[in-house]
Amino acid sequence: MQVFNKKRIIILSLLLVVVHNQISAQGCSDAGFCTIPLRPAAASKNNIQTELAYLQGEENTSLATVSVSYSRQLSKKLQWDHKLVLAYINGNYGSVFNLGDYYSTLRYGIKTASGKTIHLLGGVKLPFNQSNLKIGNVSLPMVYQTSLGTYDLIAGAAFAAGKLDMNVAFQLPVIQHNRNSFIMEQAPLPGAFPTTNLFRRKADVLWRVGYPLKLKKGKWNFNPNLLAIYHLGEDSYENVFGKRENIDGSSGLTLNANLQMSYRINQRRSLQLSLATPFVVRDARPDGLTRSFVASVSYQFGW
Amino acid sequence: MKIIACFFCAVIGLAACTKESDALRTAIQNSNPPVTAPLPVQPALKRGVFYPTSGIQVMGVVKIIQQSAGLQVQLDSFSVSPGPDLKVYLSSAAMPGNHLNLGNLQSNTGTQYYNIPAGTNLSAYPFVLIHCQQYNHLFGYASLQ
Repeated sequence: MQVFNKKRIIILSLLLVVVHNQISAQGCSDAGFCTIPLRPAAASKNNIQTELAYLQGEENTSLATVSVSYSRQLSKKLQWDHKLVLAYINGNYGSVFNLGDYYSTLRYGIKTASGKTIHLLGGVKLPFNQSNLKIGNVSLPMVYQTSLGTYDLIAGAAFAAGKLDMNVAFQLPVIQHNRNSFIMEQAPLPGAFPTTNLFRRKADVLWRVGYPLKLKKGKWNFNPNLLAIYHLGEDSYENVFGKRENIDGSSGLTLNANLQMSYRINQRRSLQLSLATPFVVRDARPDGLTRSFVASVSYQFGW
Repeated sequence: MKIIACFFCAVIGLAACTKESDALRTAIQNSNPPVTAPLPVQPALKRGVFYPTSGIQVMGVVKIIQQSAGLQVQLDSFSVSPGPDLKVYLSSAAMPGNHLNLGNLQSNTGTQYYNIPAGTNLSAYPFVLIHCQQYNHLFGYASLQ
């Protein structure tokens, strides 16, 4: 890990804020796998992490999520993680508060011949609803849904490459349980939300490249990183005639800048802050994961 | 640890809340204005009677009427068992498949109207269905005569 000074970190933070103010597009997902840490966060046998996040979505929506994660070291190499997400979404249609998704992942650390450790991750994402939450009798766009409504498989790896921290991951929707019924032509409010009736979502691959930095006194860690998410195909929906249509421009690359900061209170407790914003986006983002800004703070303790 | 567990249980217990905005409430009221005087009776171009599927209660009459803004489906003296995601379909058969989705069922009881998109070939859709899309379950159907 690089030793870094405060001045350069402040400059980096300011750069991130400037970049955020100049763009507004798709960011990272609270419902997706980019919030799952691929690397063990602490050395304790049991760890609990609570996280509060604020996210700005499209069309005047804002989101707040609270999540609780529990991880247990099953052996020296194997760790089992659980994560439960609750989301509150507010926008022109009103507000929605509901359970989102549950993640369960196993993480396995292996030593390479050169003595470095590679962390492999595999798991599932289970939805708590079918992505068809309504306000009264009004069907809501995907951005108001607390879950994508899909049962996903997740696989990934984290490893060091020189001074860089590399994460790669793959998220595959296996069971498409999304029963969203939002149809743009029948929407009671004007807006740019596309039709997502009986929405079907394609897989994603993720690639995160970080440059970990550590202050001299050792309590602060910084990890500025680039997060690339490639959506492997066009999503689709069922039109009013019951025929499936692909959504043009829904495949492709999203590129985010992310700054993670952590403060180690003691051996078993730490605080983390994360700021993220996108600067390359897909033409169409019907899945509702459009974020122009994400900020989160989390507290972790172990025993 | 116990405090966090209790807090999270309480949060989950309070979950599944929704609240409409003023803009949405106004938009819904404007699309369904309260009836202060009897609506002029429009002659039905076609009409049918609803029949239920197994385990469902449905009754009422469906009419296709011509309004100044275009064709509409009118449900009259209508009632149906509650369902989580009921839709009104114009359909080529007494089951969904080749259908035209007219939108969410506005109410489980009472008279209600649904716009038919301009240019729709009515002869291709001789049935009106009440269908739960979320669980793919047909609640009722009416043959238009």
